[in-house]
Amino acid sequence: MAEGQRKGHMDLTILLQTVLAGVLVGGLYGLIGMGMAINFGVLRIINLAQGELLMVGMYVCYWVFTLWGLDPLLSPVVTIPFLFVLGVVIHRFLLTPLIRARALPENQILLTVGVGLVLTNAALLAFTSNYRTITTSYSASLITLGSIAVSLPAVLAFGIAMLVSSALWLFLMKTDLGKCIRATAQDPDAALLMGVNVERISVITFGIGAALEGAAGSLLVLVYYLFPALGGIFTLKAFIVVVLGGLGSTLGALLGGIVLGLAESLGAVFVSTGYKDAIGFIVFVLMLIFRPAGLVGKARM
Amino acid sequence: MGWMLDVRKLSKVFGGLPALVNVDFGIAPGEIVGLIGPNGAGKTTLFNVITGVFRPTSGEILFEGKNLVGLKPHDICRLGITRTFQVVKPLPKMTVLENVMVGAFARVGTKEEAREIALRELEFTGLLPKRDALARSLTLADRKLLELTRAVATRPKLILLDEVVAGLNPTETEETITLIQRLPERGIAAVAGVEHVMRVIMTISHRIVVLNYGRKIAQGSPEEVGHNPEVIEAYLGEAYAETS
Amino acid sequence: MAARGGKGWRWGGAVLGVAVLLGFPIVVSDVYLQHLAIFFLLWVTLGTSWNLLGGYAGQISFGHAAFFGMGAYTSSLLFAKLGFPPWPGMLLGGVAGILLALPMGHICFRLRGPFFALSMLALSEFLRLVTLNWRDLTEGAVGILLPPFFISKLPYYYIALALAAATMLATWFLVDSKVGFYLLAIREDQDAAEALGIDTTWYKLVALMVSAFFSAMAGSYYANYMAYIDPPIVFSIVDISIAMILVAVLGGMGTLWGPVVGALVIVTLSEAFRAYFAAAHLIVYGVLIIVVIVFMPEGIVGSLAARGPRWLRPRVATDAPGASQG
Repeated sequence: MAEGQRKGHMDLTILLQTVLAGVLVGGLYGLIGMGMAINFGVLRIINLAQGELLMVGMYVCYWVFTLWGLDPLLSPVVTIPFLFVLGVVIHRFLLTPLIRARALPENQILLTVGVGLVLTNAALLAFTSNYRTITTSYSASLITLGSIAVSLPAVLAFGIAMLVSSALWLFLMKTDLGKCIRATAQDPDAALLMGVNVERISVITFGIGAALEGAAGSLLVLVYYLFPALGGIFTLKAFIVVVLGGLGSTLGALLGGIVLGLAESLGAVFVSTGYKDAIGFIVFVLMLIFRPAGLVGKARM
Repeated sequence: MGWMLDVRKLSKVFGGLPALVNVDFGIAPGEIVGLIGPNGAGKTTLFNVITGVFRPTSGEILFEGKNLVGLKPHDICRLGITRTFQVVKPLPKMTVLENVMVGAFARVGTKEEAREIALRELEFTGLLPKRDALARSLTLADRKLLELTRAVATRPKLILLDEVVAGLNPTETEETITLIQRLPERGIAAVAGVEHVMRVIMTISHRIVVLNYGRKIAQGSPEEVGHNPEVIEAYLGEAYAETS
Repeated sequence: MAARGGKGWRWGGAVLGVAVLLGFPIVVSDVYLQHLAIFFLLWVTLGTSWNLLGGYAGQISFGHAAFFGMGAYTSSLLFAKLGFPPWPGMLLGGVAGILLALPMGHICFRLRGPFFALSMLALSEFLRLVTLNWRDLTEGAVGILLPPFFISKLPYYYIALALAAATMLATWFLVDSKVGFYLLAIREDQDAAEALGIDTTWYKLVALMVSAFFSAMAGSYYANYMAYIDPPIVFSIVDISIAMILVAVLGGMGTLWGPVVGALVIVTLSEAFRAYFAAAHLIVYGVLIIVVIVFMPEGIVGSLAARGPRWLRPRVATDAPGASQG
């Protein structure tokens, strides 16, 4: 009897802990997905190099930490501008010519695949395929709430992810540039008529989408290990997040990230660790069947 | 009168905004109907609902006694209704002939048969000399003509023409109108959607239907509609209607 | 312009081509070159099957490795567990590909946008994880070792040749018919296609099933030829899925001969660069994709054909007699 009670208590603790862990990592997934979502909103294509940009962000964070001891939590001041410039360069020199030539969307997506491959393999050449991690003074710290313990880096990463997300939201809602981005996402032709320089907005948005991966990379380093091929995995996760949230919706992406984080974390504990990522796929397929417009989106079929 | 297409109390609401409200109208075999309405009056929505692109919120669409609601655009095409698009949709990297053959395949299975039909229809519309040009290389007028040819090649009983003369110069408009006038002799009825009350449409239409803000505000002979105060008001504003 | 070449030359060229293909492994006894030739044929098969769906129907898949791996695992498991002969097993591998394609197409082709392209990517990752974790059935990461079936490369070569030829003939046959016109129409404009009476969901599904069948057969073939498979190899995003796209895009999407040219370039280049970049040789793929998309979006065959003979043109088109006359 007492045994059973204790077991029940244990299960509850595990459940709570799992849910919490899922939400925390989900916040990061959300941030990663937001980068893809904002790009999709304006460009109308999925950037399949999104995860690779994240990977670049992680390496930048890793090196500024290793070489100059810059704390990962502060590293966004470096990774955000770095990735913004990288995004702008990629768009300006590769995507812009395609858009001007009215290339098929498929070709634009393929181009991002090529960019992703180059980034991954350049990282492979430069840094080898070794797994790397960052160890900070707080890496191993835990926060305990009763019988539940969560890792401090995960909490910090989640907090900053929320901060960046809110900043993005305010930027989109309150600033003129943000309004231009939203107008372009809604209807590029109308935006053009209203005097918005759509091409410039497109370049800037791509930069912002990349910069978000820079921020996410700085945070992901705290809770994940780093290797060149990680980009592909996260491109896929970002896509699932974006579909869950409704294509192009930045707030939806945040929600989608948390749903994916929860599904993975619950799946890892209650099904099997090996199938963790497969569970994300199942959620994704269910979504496609029953709510293709996303959790918060309006159906448009 | 026995309608071939009978639209009853058709409504379509988009996210709370009504685009069509209780629209009733009918088309007889071989008839040419002018569908007039300012931009945003609901003409394109009406075409989209009839051809199965959107499902109506309520109402019935009967075509030769068969309810079309719930059918897909391709089913409806096979039953005999096809359309052209306000923003023309040629198949850009295919030739003119191939474009029309795609339409012809709606009724036949082999390339030879499709080719034969396509050549005949190209002759009918006068596009035959340009049959080997890529569709993307055509002028707007020719693209519109191509779309019409392609639609005719599906052997329809009814063609819905969305903004059939928009963007055309007077000569091109005249040619298109002449062509539409000849559709009934092929056993094809047509609904020509236009934005303005144009003389050209008035002269070829057997009947005119006027839409405004998603409602049918008038219908009748071109003569009657031209003198309908509500129509004048819709086009020229209330002030004009009051003073006149 | 093409007319001057005349039918005689084309038939002569075809006979010569067939003779070269049939005679190659007899004349060239170097085992390494024979191996490269086999890989070339395998990539012709894969590129062509991807091209039917991606190039002609315009439905880009980022995860055709799903079919490749499905075929590989189906015939290998049938052999390892039930002793089912592996070469007929190729056919069953192909059927397994179709069975996988059906629900995918059914779910994704109702939707527009990038759903299909990326769902395929997700599907292939899903299958990689399942084969990796379902150890009782698949041996997981250990992989499946098959006995080598032939000592000589000759039988392997001819089977690969037959498979590549079958894939190309099937594509040619489909593309030259009503189905081909419909697939192109869907690629060019889906709204117009529907208004013209085309059941777009169905025709996309047809293209997907045929494509999946041949890709899966190629997977079975690969397993039989290499005599070993494991999940990361056969479900590889880059080495299979993206390489398939590259073969088609490089050669020319929506052209019959594009994937042949693409396969030739890819097999040659990846052999050449493997020595220089070692593990990172895929950087070449990335650069190639970027260069082709930016500077030669019609691919090699597509770009040449725009200026070249009519029969090379990247359309199903009315290469039919009479189209160029009068």
